[in-house]
Amino acid sequence: MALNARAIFALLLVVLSVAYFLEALTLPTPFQQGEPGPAFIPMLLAALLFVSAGVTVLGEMRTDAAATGERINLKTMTLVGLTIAFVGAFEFAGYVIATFAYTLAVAALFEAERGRSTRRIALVSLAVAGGVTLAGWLFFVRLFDLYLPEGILGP
Amino acid sequence: MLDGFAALLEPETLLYLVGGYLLGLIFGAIPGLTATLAIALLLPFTFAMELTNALVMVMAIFMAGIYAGSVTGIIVNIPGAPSGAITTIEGHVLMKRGEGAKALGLDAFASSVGGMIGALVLMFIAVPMSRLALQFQTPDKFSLVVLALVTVVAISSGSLAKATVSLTLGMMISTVGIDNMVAQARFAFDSAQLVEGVRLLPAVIGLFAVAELLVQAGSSRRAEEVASLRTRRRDFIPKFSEIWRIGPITYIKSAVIGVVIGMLPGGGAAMASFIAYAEAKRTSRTPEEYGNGSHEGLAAAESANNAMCGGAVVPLLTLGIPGDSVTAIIFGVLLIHGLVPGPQLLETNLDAIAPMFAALFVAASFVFVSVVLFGPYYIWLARMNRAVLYSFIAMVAMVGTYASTFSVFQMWVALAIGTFAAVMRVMGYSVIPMLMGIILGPYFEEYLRRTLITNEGSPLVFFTSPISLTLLILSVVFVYVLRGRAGAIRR
Repeated sequence: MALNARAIFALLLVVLSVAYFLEALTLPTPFQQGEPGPAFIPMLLAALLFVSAGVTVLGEMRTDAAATGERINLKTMTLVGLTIAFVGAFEFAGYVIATFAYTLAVAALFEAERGRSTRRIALVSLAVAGGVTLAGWLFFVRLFDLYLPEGILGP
Repeated sequence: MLDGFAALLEPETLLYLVGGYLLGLIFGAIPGLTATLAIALLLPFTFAMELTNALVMVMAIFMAGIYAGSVTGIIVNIPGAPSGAITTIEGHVLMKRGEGAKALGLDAFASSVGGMIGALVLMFIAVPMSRLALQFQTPDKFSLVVLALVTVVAISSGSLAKATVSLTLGMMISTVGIDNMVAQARFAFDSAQLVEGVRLLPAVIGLFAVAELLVQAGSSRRAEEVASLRTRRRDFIPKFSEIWRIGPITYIKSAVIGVVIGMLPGGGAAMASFIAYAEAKRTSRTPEEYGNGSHEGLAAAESANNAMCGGAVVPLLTLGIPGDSVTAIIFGVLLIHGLVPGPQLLETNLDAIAPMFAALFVAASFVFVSVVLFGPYYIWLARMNRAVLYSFIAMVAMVGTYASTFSVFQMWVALAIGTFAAVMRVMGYSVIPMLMGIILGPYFEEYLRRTLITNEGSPLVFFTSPISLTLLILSVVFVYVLRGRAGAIRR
C-alpha cells in the first residue's frame, strides 16, 4: 500500500466531494417543503463521488500505477500558460494579433521537438502562424460571418 | 425518405457532404484525432449553417472518421481512433507482409457494407421506434437515463469506480447555474457568469480538443517513419474471391452486431468491433489465422464499427438519449437549431432529419470510392507535421468557442475543463462518462424530481411502471453482460 500520484489525485477528488457537499448544504434542505428541492441531486452526487473516489484511492494504493502512455510535463504546462495568456489578451489585442502570437508559440513548441535549428523553427513557426491565423479568419469571419474582436487594430 | 436522398442532390448540400467526408477522413486517419474531435470542432460552425447542411456534414464526418480510424492502424500500427484498434491487429500484420493495399481495400469494403446496412436499419426502424418511444412517461424516461448512465460506466475502460468518478464529475458540472425547476442559483459563488451554467459547447471543446492538445504536448512522439510504398490504385480493390472467402454471413452478422451495440447507450465503435471480431473468431473455420493477418477478422471488425454509426443515431433521434460522445455532440447540433431529440422529433420534423439518414448511406458508399482515390496518400496524412496540426487545433478550439458564444468566460471554461480532463486522462480516467454526465445530468435530475413530486416523494412508481421496471432490470443485465463479456474476451 503506497500513496502514489494516482492515489493522491483520487484523494483530492474525495476532498472535492466534501467541499461540494458543504456548498450544497447552503441550498434549501431537501423535502423540507415536501419536494426534493435543488440540493437533493447535489447531495446524492457528493455521496456518490465520495464513495467512488474513496474506492479508487484504495484501488490505486493496492496496485502499481500502470502508465497510460500519456503524461504531463513542462511542455504541457507551457501550453496551458500560453493558452491562459491568449485568452487573457484575446479581446484587448484582437483576433489577428493574439492568434498569430499564440499559434506562433504553439507551432514553435511542437516544431522544437524535431531537433531542428532555431532559425528553421522560427521560419516554420512564422509560416504556420500566418497560415493558421489567415485560415481562421477566412473560416470564421469571411465564410460564416461570425464576429471576432479586432482589439487594438480596430477603429 | 426519398426526399432525403433528393436533398443531397442540392449542390450546396452535396458540397457539405463531400467536405464533411474529407474532414472525417483526415481527422480519423491522423493518430490523436478522432471523428468526435472533428465534430466537436465543427460545432461552432454549425451555428451559421442550415440544419440540413449541418446534419449531413456531421453524418459524413461520423462515417468517415470511424472508418479512417483503422487506416493509420494498418499502415503504422497506430490506430487513428479507438474504433480502429481491432482492425490494427490483423491489418498491420498484412502491411508487414507487403499486403498493405489489400488490407486497406478489404478494410474499406467491409466499412462500406457495414455502414450501408447500419444506414438502412436506421431508415426502416427509427420511425417505428419513435412511435414506441411516445409511450414513455416521466418515470420511464428517468429509468432510461439510468440505463444510459449505467451502461456508459459499464463499457468504459478501466475500473468501474473510475468510470463512476468521471460520470459523477460530469453530472456535478451540469448542476452549476440556475436550478432547472426552481429559481435558485447553485454553485455560482455570486458570479453572474456562473449563474448561466456551463454550456455544452465549451465543455465538449474542453473535454476533447483542449485535452487532446495538452496530452499531445506531453508526448514527445515524432512523426513515425513510414516506409515508402509504391502502390497503384487498382491494388486497393479487393478481388471477388477474397470477399467470397470471407463470406457474406460474416459481413451481415458483424453489421447486425454493430447496429445493436450502436443502439445501446455507450456502446460505441470500439465495443462493436471488439465483440464482432470475437464472434467471427468463435464461428470461424480458420480461427488460427486470427492475429496473423486474418481477412475475416479484419472484415468483421470494420463491418461492425461502421454499422454502429446507424445504430448509434436511433436512440438519439427516437428517445433523445445520446449513446456515445459523437451522438452527444449531434444532440448539441440539433439543440442549437431548435430541435429537441426525442419521441416527437421524427413525427414532426422527418423532412429535416431525412437527409441525415441519406447522408449516412451515401457516406458509407464513399468509403470504398475514397480508398481507391486516396489510398496512396494515406501514408502522407499519417506523417503530417505536428506543429501545423496542433496550432490549427489550438486556434479552432479557443477561437471557435468565442465565435459561438461571444464570451471570453466560455473560453476560460473550455480551458479549465480541458486542463482537468487532460489530468484525468493521465491519471487513467476515461472522459467519455464525464461528457455523458454533463449531457444527461439535467435530464436525470428533472425526471427524478418531477416523478418524486407527482408521487408525493414515493419512488415506488419506478418499479410499478412496466417500462420503467424493464429498463431498470436491463440496467442490471447490461452491467453484467457488458462487463462480463469484455472480461471474458480479455481473458
